[in-house]
Amino acid sequence: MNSFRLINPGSIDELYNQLSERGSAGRIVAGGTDLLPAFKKEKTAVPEFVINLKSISELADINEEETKINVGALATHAEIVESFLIQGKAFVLAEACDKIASWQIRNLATVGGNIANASPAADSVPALLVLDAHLHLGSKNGHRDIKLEKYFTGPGQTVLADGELIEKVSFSALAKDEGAAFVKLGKRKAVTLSIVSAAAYVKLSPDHLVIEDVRLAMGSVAPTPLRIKSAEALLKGSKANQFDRQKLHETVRKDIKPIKDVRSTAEYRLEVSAVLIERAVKLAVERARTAGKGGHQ
Amino acid sequence: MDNHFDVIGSVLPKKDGIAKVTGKEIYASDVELPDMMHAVVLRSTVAHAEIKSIDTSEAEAMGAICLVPDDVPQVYYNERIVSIPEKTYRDRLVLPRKVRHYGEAIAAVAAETEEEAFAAMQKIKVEYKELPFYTDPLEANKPGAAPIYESVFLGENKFDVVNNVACERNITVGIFNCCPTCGTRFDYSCRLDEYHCGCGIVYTPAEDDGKAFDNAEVILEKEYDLSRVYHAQMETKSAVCRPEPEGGFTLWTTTQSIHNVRILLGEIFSIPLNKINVKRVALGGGFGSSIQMNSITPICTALALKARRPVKLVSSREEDMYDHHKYPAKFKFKIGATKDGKIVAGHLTVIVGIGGHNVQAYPLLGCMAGWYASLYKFPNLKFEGTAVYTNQAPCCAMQGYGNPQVNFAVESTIDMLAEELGMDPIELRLKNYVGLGDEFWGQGPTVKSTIKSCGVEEMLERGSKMIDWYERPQPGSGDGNVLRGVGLARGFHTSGTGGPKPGEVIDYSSASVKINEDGSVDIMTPIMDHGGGTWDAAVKIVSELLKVPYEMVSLSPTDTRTTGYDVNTHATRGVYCGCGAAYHVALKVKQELLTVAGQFLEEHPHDLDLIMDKESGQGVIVTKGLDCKRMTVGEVAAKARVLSMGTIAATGSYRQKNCPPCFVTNFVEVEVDKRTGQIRVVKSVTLGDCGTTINPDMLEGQLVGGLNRGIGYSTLEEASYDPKTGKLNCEGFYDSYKMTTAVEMPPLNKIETGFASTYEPTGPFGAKGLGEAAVNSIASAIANAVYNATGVRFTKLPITPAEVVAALKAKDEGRI
Repeated sequence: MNSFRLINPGSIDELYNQLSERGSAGRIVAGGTDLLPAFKKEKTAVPEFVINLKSISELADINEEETKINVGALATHAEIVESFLIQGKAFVLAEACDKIASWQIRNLATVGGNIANASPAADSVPALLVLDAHLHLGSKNGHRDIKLEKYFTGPGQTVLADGELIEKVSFSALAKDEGAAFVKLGKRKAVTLSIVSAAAYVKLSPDHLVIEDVRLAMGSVAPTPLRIKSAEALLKGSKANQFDRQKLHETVRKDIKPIKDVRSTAEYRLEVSAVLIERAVKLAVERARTAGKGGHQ
Repeated sequence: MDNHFDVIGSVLPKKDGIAKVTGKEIYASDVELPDMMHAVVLRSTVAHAEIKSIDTSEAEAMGAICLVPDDVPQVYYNERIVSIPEKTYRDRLVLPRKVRHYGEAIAAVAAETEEEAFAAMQKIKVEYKELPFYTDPLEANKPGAAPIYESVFLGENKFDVVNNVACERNITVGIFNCCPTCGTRFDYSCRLDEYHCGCGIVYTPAEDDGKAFDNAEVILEKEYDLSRVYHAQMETKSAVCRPEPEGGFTLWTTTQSIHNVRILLGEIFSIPLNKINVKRVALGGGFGSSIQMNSITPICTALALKARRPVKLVSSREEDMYDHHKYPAKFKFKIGATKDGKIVAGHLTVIVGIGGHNVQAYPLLGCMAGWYASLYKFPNLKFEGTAVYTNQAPCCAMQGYGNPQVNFAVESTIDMLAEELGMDPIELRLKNYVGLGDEFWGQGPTVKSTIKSCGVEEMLERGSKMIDWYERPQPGSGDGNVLRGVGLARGFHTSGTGGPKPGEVIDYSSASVKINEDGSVDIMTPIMDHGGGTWDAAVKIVSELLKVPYEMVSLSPTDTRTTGYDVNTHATRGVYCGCGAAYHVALKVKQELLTVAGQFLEEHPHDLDLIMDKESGQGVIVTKGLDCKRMTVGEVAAKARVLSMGTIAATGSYRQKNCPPCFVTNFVEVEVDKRTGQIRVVKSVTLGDCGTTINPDMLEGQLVGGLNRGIGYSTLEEASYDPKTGKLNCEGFYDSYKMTTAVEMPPLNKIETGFASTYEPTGPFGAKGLGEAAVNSIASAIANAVYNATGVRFTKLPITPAEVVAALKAKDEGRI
C-alpha cells in the first residue's frame, strides 16, 4: 500500500478549509473500515492526503430535538447500538447497525461513513430510509439538507459535492402505533455483508388492524439502497395481519434489479427479497402493536 | 473409561496453556534477533506467465537486499518429503522462472524494517509474457491447453507432462480389468484406451467394467463436485533464519516437521545437516498446510545467506490464502449391490485440480483409493484418479487428506442405495462396513494393516438413540417453511502411516527420556503439536509409564540437533506414532530405573513395581505384592548421582507397524428454511473411536472443531477463483472468505460427543488417533440430513442457499 499524509483538523472550520484546499488530492476518512481495505485491495487510488474526521467530536453527537433525532456522522455503529435514545425511539437503526460486521468494526465504523461510502449493501441505510431520514451536508460555503432517498446516484456514487461532507443524519422519533424493523440475509449470521437486506416502517390504525402508512427499503438488490414504493402502495391501507403475500412478492420483484456477485445470484435475490420484506413488515407490525408497552418500536 | 490409569484420561492443565493464554508463547513470528532484517515477498499479479525480466536496481539503490530466481540454487525439489523419493514428484525451485499462479512468490526483499522492505519491493519491475491460464482442471486437461509444465521429475527421472496431467493412479481389486471373455488380468497401472487380449477381445477399461457388476441387482451412478477451500490455520507462515559464523544457519519456522525442513534445506543449499539447526517453536495450527516445507522458508533462508544477517519473513493473511488450499474433487461413483444389501462392486473416478505445484497429488490419489476401499467391503473395486495442474494456489493435505471428499461421494451414495433398497441406512452400513479383522488401507494401497479395534457398531447404536434416529421424518415429508431432517454418515481416518512392511510413506519417530536428579522427568521429542494436545499426550504417556506425576514431567525445548528424526505430525499420527516412540523409549527408562533401584533395594528388578504417590509428588518403586521396601524415583536418581552411577535415560527411534483406523459416527439434525435456503445444523451427535482417550477434553475439542469446519465445508467455504482474472474471488481477505463462526454452530447443549469403549492393542496404552477423523464425515451427514429434510439430494459442496431455493422451487414445480 502506498503511503499518504494524514491530516487531523482541530475544528470543523479547519476541516472545511482543508477539504477545499486539498481538493481532489485529499480524501476524508472517518472509521477507515471501508477506505483502508479499498487502498489495500487497490480498489481506490491512494491520495496524497487523508483528512481524518475523528478528532472533531461535535460530529459524533446523538441527540434529540423535540421529536427529531440527530445522529452525528461520526457516531460509530457501536455507539448507535448502545444509545438508549436510539434503542427507545428508533430501534430499527440500532438493529441494523448491530448487524454490521463485527464488534471491532462497529467500534470504529461510523454511520456517516456507511452512508457516504454508498455501498448498495450498507446496512444502516435501509433502516434510515424507512425512518425517512434527512442528511445535513456541510461545506466551506454553507449547509444544505437533502432527503437520504435522493442522496445515492449509483454504487459508490452520491450527490455529495467536492469539499462537502455529511455532518449528521436526522429523522423523526417513532410515536405510538408506529413500528419498524430491519432484517438481513448474509452468507452467514455474523460478520457478513448483506446478500439482501430489508427494512419496514408501519403506522397502524388506532385499533391496530390496518396499516395506515408504510415505508419499505432494501439493500443489495439494486445499484443503490432503495425504497420499494410499489410494495408500499400495495400494503398501505391493507390489513395488518393479513396482506396478500403472492401480490407482495410479485410487486417487490418488479421494484428491484439485483445482480450476481461473489455473495449470491440475481435469481436468489429475486426469490428472497419479498420474503425479507414480509418478515420485516411482520416484525414492524408486531412492534407497532406493542409500542409504548416496553417492547422495541 | 479405564480407571486403572493415574494420568491417562484425566483432564489436566495443558503444559503450554499458561504461555498461550498470557501471550508468552513463542511462535516463529515472535522470534527477534540482534541485527535482524525484515523481508517481504514480491508476488505475481498474473496467473500464468514467463518471467522475462526482473529489475531490482532501484530497490537495491535503496539499500535493500533482493533475491531473484538467479540467486537461488537451481535445485528442483518437492516441499513434502514424506513419501519415498521414487514416488515423489519434483517440479519447483525456490523462486520460479515461470509464474504458475496468481500470488506466487517471484522475488523477495530484505531491509532494516518491514516498511523499508515493502517500499523497496514496490520499486522492483517485472516483465511478464502472459500465457493462457486455467482455473478449472477440465479446461487445463483438454488437448491443446497451454502447458503449465513442459516436464517435471519423478524421483530421479524427468518426464514430459501431457495435457497438464500431474499424475494418475489406477487401482483395482477383484475381477475389474480382467478380460470379460477369458479372465486374463490386464496391467492397469498405466492407463490405456484399449487392451487387446490374447483371446482376441478388445477391451476399453474406461467404459467397460467387465463382469464386476454382473451380480449387482441394483446399480447407482452418481457425480459429486467438492470445492477448493482454504486451511485458515491461525498462524500465517513465518520464518526467521540466522546464518551462523561457522557456516550453516539456525532456523525458526512454521512447520509440522522440523526434520524434513532441515533435510530439504540441506539438499537445496548443499549444506551438511550438522550445520543446520531447525528449532521447534509453537505452531499456531496447521490443518496439514505445514506438512510440507512452506514456500517462504527457503526464500527466507536464501535471503539470510545472501545478506549474511538474520532475516525475518512473516506472511500476511492475503499471501497465505494464495499459498495453499485443500484439494477440490470431482467424482463419478458407480456402486452395485444385491437386493439384500450386499455390495458387489464399486467404481470411483476422480479428477483433482491441484494448482500450480504438485505437492503430494500421487499419494493423495492413493489415499483416496484407500479411504474408499476401507469404508465398505467392495469385493470388486476400481479407482481411477487423475491430478491436473491448474493456475491456482498449490493444493496440499488438509484435515483428512482426500478423506472428506471421498467420504462425501461414498456416504451420500450409500444413503441413496439404502433408500433404493428400502433398507435402513444403519442396517446397510452394518452389513458392509470394514471392521474388526478386516484389512485397512491407512495410506493408499501400499500401507495396510489388519483392524484390531473397532467401535463402529457401538457408535451407530449409541448415536441412533441419542438422535432418535428411528423417529426421523420420511425424506421430504415435512410441510411449512422450515423443514427438519436427520442425517447420518460414518467415517474414519488412519492413525499414522505405518504398516507391517514399509510402503510408499516414511513413518517413524524418535524420543529421549531422562530422569532428573530429583525424580522429575524431561522428554525430548521432535514431534510438533498443532494445538490438539499431542505434547500433553507425550507427557501423560511417560508420566503414566514411569508413575511420575504429570507436574513432574516436562517437555524440553528441542530442535533438529537434539532429537532423532520424526517424519511429521500428520496423518493423525501424533499420539499413535509420535507418542508411541516416547512410550517405547520410556519403557527402556523404566527397565533401567528398576535395575538401578534393584541394586539399592537388593531386589531383582522383576520383583519391583512403580506406583504414583500423588501426595509426595513422586513416582515410587515398591516391591511387588508385599509393599515392604520402597524408594521414590527421586531418591533413586539422587543416590545414583552421589554414587556416580550415571543418568537413567534412554534414546530411541520407533516405527509403528500398524495404521489403525480411528472411526467416527456423525448424526446431525438440520433445519432448512425453505424460503431462504438457509441450512442450520440444530443438533449434532459425534462419536469417536480413538481407543483409550488420553486427553478427553482435547479430544472433545477436536470433535467440535471438526464439526465447525465440516459445517463450513458443506454450507459455506469456497476458495473460488475468478476465471477471468485468475484471482481468488475473496482476494485473500477474511471479510470475503467466509467460514463458520460460533453462531452458526448448534447451541452448546445440542452438541453431543462421546467415545467408543475400545482399546487399540498396538497403541500406547491402547490409544490411536482422532484428529482428522473429526471432520471426515460431517459434510456427508449434513447433506444426508438436508436430503431427509427436503427430499432433494445435493451433490455439490458447498450447498448454497441459492442452490437450495432453486432446487426446492424446481421440486415444488415438479421439475425434479
